[in-house]
Amino acid sequence: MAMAKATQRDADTDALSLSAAIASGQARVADVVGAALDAIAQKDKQYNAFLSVGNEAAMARAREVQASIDAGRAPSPLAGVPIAIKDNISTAGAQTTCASKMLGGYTPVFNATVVDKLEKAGLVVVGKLNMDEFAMGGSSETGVNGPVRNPWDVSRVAGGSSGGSAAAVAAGEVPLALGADTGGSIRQPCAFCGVVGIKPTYGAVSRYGLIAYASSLDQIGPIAQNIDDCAALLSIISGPDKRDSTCIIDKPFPFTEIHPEHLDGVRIGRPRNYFGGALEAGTRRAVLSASEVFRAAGADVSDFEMPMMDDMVSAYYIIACAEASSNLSRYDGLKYGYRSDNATTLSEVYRLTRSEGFGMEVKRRIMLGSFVLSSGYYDAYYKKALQVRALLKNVYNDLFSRFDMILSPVAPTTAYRIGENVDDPMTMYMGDIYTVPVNLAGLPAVSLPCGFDDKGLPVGFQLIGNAFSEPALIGAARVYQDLSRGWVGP
Amino acid sequence: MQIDDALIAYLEDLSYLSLTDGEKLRLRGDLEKILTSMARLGAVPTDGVPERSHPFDHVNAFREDGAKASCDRQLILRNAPGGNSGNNGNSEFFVAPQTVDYDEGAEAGAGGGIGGPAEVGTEPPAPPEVE
Repeated sequence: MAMAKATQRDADTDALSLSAAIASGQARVADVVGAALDAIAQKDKQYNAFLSVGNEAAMARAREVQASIDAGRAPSPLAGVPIAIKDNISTAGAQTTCASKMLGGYTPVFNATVVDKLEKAGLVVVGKLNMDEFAMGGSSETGVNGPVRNPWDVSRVAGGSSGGSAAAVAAGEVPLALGADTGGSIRQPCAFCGVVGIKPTYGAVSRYGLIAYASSLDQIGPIAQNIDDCAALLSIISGPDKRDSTCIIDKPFPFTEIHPEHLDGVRIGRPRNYFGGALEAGTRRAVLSASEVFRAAGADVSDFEMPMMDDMVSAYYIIACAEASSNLSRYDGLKYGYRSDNATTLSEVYRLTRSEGFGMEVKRRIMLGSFVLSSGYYDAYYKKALQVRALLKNVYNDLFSRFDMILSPVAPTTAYRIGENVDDPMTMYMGDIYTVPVNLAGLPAVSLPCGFDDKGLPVGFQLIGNAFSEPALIGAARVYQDLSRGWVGP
Repeated sequence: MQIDDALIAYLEDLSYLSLTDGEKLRLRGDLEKILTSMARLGAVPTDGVPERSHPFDHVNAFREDGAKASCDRQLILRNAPGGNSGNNGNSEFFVAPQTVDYDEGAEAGAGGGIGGPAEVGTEPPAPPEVE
């Protein structure tokens, strides 16, 4: 298909511009939210980014938020801004399906903590976003409602598993979205769709109400047109939560302007071996150009060799699948979601419900997880992967004694064609090679667009920092954003 | 790594899944490739390295230990497959198929009441030998 020409998007479609217009009385919340709902109605047949849209609830909420603002109680810097949420994040009273037949019709009775925080901050939730089934995938093709289509080229995937979140922002349907990142699921779709995302430090954002895939790796994060919007949203969703004992941050990240004028003295490491092998030439060129922008801003950019690079995908998939096989044992056909009509005994209810309710990739990962945890294989696979994870932590500890940040590609390729890799799990898994080490070590990373490949498709890079260094990463990303082209849309 | 039918059947039991013949065929090929690739981890020297199941050493943020209201039972039961009507119209409990026999006639007699299990699970096959 013909590639849409990249054009500079109007500056006033980003979240902070919209909220500023609302705060000053130049725009009404209902108009801004109504415009988002109209955009979804007009555009989403092409992209399939949304699984559900709550028109009436959103407009009712818009009126409530407007009343607060009119009364002089603007609850946050993003008050009145529409936002959409990945469908594995629980929303009380609104369907949450993880794009799976297994959770068809499931309506949570409670909000995820992040959703409570959005409501308190006066954002308006307009709908739930498509994804890979139970977040297991890198292309948003495995969901029961069909693939998300990339707004830059609808014959191509949007990336995954938060493909709906990235596509909805890239298409201009909503200015903000929440995604979740277990092995790259925020960063890679952002790279494929040319938008900005943050994978926060593990324990910086509550996972309460996030439907679990791999609990020691999952983390919710923001997606937007630019780093400022992401930073504003991160300041709202981050912070401690009594309902998540792994949420170890002591207070939310501040939304004060961390906007250095230059990066003099900032040490940025570039893993030399990430730039060879499977990395496509157009992606290599764009990411190397981005690193030169940092050098021009005063950063000291130097190369290093990343140890154990080729072992990370194996370690990640062993651990993630082991945790998934345990987490997904809760789907038994009794308490919520799908139940097989063909079952008569309790054993059949479990077995047939799971066989009919899960898609192939989910079954593959559950069985892989069962294998690595089973007697006779546990030590060789699961225990070994946990030891490799410990070695990786040591590697990062050493790296962050030498560097302040690490700059790398997000994915070896740009967006590939729908159907191209979906039946080849090894190729799909290897696409995560640059992103999964960050999750294994629990580190934060920012995914930023850095131009286009020869096919005209967006390329992204990531800036990785030490634990809880989000303010520094955001500051560096702001400098990069100032010196690069800024937001362009399809 | 060679994946045989017995191992697939064992994993189906562990996972409470029943695959179609087509799915089994696909999974055999996929698992062979994936596990062969994963086996490379065996070459990483890890003697004496502790296992790390969590990204950080600080793994628990405690809260006060106090009683509080939980979710509404009727709202929760509404999510049972089919809703309240599909849940056999039961608004108190989740409904599941019977798992034990109950012999009413034997109730008054000695040892009466609950009989043996209505369905007997099969023992999982012994895991195959490690290569």
